[in-house]
Amino acid sequence: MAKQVDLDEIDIPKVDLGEYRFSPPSSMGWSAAEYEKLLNNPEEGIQKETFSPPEVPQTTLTELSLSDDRRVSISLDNVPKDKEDGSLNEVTVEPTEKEEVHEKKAEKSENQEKKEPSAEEKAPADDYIISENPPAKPWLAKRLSVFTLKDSE
Amino acid sequence: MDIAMIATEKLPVPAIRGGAIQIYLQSSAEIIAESHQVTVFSIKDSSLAENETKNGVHYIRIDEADYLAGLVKQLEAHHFNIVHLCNRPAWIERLKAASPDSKFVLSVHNEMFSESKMTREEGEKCIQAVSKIVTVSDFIRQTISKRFPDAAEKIETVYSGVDLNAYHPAWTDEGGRIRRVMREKAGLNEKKKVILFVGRLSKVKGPHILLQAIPEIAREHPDAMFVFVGSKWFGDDQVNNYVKHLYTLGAMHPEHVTFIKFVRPQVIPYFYTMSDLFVCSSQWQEPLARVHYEAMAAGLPIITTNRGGNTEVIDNGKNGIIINEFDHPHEYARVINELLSDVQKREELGRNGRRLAETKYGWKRVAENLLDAYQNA
Amino acid sequence: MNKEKYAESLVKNHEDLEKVLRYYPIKPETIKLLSSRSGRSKWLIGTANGNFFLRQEYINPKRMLFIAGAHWHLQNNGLPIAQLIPTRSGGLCLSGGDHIYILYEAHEGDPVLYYDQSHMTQAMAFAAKFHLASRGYIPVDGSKKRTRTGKWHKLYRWKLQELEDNKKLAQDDPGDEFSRLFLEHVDQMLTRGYAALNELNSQELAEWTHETIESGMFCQQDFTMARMILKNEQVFMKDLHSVTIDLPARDLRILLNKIMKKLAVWDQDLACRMLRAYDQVNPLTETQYSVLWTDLKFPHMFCAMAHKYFLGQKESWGDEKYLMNFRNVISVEESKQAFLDQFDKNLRVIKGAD
Repeated sequence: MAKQVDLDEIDIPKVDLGEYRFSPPSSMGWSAAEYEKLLNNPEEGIQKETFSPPEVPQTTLTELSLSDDRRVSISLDNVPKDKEDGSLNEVTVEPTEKEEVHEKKAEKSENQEKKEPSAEEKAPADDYIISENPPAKPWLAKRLSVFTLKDSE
Repeated sequence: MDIAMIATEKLPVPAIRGGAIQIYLQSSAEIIAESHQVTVFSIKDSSLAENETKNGVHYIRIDEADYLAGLVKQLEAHHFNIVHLCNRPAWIERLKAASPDSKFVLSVHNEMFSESKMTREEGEKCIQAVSKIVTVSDFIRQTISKRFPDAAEKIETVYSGVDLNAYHPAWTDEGGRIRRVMREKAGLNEKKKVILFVGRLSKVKGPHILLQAIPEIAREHPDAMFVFVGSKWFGDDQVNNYVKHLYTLGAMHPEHVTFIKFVRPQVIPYFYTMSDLFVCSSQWQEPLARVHYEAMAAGLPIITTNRGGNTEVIDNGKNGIIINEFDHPHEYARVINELLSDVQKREELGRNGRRLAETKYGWKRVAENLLDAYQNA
Repeated sequence: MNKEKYAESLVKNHEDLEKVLRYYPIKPETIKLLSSRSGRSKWLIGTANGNFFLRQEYINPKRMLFIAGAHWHLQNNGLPIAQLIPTRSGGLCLSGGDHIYILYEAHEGDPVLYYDQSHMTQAMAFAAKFHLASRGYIPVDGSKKRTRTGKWHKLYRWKLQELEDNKKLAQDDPGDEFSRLFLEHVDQMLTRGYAALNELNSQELAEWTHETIESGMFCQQDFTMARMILKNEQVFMKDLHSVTIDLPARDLRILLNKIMKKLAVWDQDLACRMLRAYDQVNPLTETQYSVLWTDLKFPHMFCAMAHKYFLGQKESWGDEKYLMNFRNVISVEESKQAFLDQFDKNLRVIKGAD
């Protein structure tokens, strides 16, 4: 059934295990090298940033329902209206591409917590929390401790 | 007979992208088509035509997005005496409604009838609607009949098979040549004792247990080399957490571990030829891994675990060794060390395996069993 | 990107979103991007009728249908949760092939604080309501369920094997402080883990698994106070990202572990009080509590910590941060033992008998 393959043409790609040898993190973490690069070239860091809003793909959308004969509806009478103070956890931290960004404290909430990825889930990828206004000035903190994640994870 | 054979929605047939079910379908279809009309349904693939006839088998390929609906339409439009559906008991109701006069044969390749996958009601409906259920192992057969005793009379085990011409034991001329070339390409001289693992690099397949056994093996056999052939999913070469974990473990013993990145399915038989031992370290109750058939066909002694249906094709001490303490690295080390020290035993196990594969596990036997099942449906 | 270009891109973004929002029975007046992370983006939609959140997520639509169906089921059963808003034609969410959109009420309120015991007991009562409201859920045909029932053995076994593997890695570098600390405690954790694995062979687990599957109930799978608020002094769920078919014990174990990690120690009294609050809404049997005890006994947090470290998952964490978190986890796992050893006594407290 299987096509015969010419033996001489075969390539045997091996994994380079040297790349995977475990080494403990330094005091600044495994991504310290990235920080160092950005610290040394802040302008380059800014130019690399792309603060565009998340794309809304131009695909045709299909509605997913309970079933063909189980269409549902709801009354909109009790939907919450505008809050008195007008804010809704707006944050103004300017993000970078590879940072794990944490939210700045909103006025009232003391313990906003990021979702803890369980061992079975992937680690979070790029992490943006964007305000309506683009960043006005370079984001780089003077001290790296600003990026310490809140609470324990 | 006019026979329809239906693959799952996962991969196309012919098995250009691998898949145990797809290989099973393609191989038996080609033989059955020698004496009957066979149409194989599977999903579309960019490198395959929507309709074609190949090796006597008529292939119809349907969009994955509307696969079941497409199958229903096809069955409504063409009448088949027998509809053989692979591994999708939940589809039986709709397909039967589309073709009430056909006899339905369901092949079950893993635990599709378990409590978490199917309600009692669904199971009973499905069993009523089919004429026959064929399973890939007694283990699967028993799990179904334990939960659905009424199904017992309809179920039989039909072991899968292997292409005996694609696998070459090292003692044959062709095998000897393959072994030399492969070892050279892999950078493994003849002194190296190669222990082969083929399969998905996943927790349930247990390759990490083998890595734990390395220190004990290397003490006795410094020239031992584990070769891992496989990837996460058929064709995918990405490193997920588990694979990263494996590589990290392997990196502690680089002189005894080689991970091969994904290679084309057609090349995999050559890895068997180049090896001295085959090991299956499955941790879960798997139906019956087809790598056992492949290792037998390649004349390799097999070490496997007592999980699921794997032991059904092993005659302990004759064509392989069964490990009962499947999560104890020491057990693997013990058995591997013994076999690596005994070239005669290895050859005896290997030759017995090849003989067994030739008598029982060729695709011809599988096709005959399936035809019997169709005729008695 | 400069300010003008950014403003332009926002305008285009909002125009594109309006096309999506036309599927819904609302008239958007304002659109504001709130967040975008890990394949999930969230906008605040202001209308004359009120505020909504529109979420875009890169997820298998069949899986989203399972979650959205669960959300709909929960709200229809009276759970205090931000209501999912169906499309004009009665759909639960929109699929774009590799991504979805879902619209739900935007609720805000006071945060639920881990350090406030009355908040925590209310959160547990909410978890009980969640589990009760989940009963009877029948996922839509074609939706992709996520099931963990029947997989406990597999999961425990794997985590223990990973721990053994990590032990080898730690032994390879005994000079590393984390590895040293790990090696000091790993054998004790392995003993507990194997004991818990053994307990899974009990009839108790099999029975509860069967009941859970039959009843259709499901778990939230990763309760976090970030998605909860206090509304009218009641715990209210403002966001539902995911659900899993599993025993309620899973949610309880995760919640209790999470809270105790914040306290850096296992507080027996608090644990009993919280379980009592749960039990008063959704009473569990003694055999069900013994399954929860097994799941608490298993060193999930210790395993998770080692997993993160030896896989290098937290790229920005330095060695000190890892050590700090690890010591915290060890402290909680070890102080938990006293609680676990007093099953009968604690059960009486939970049931209000003491």
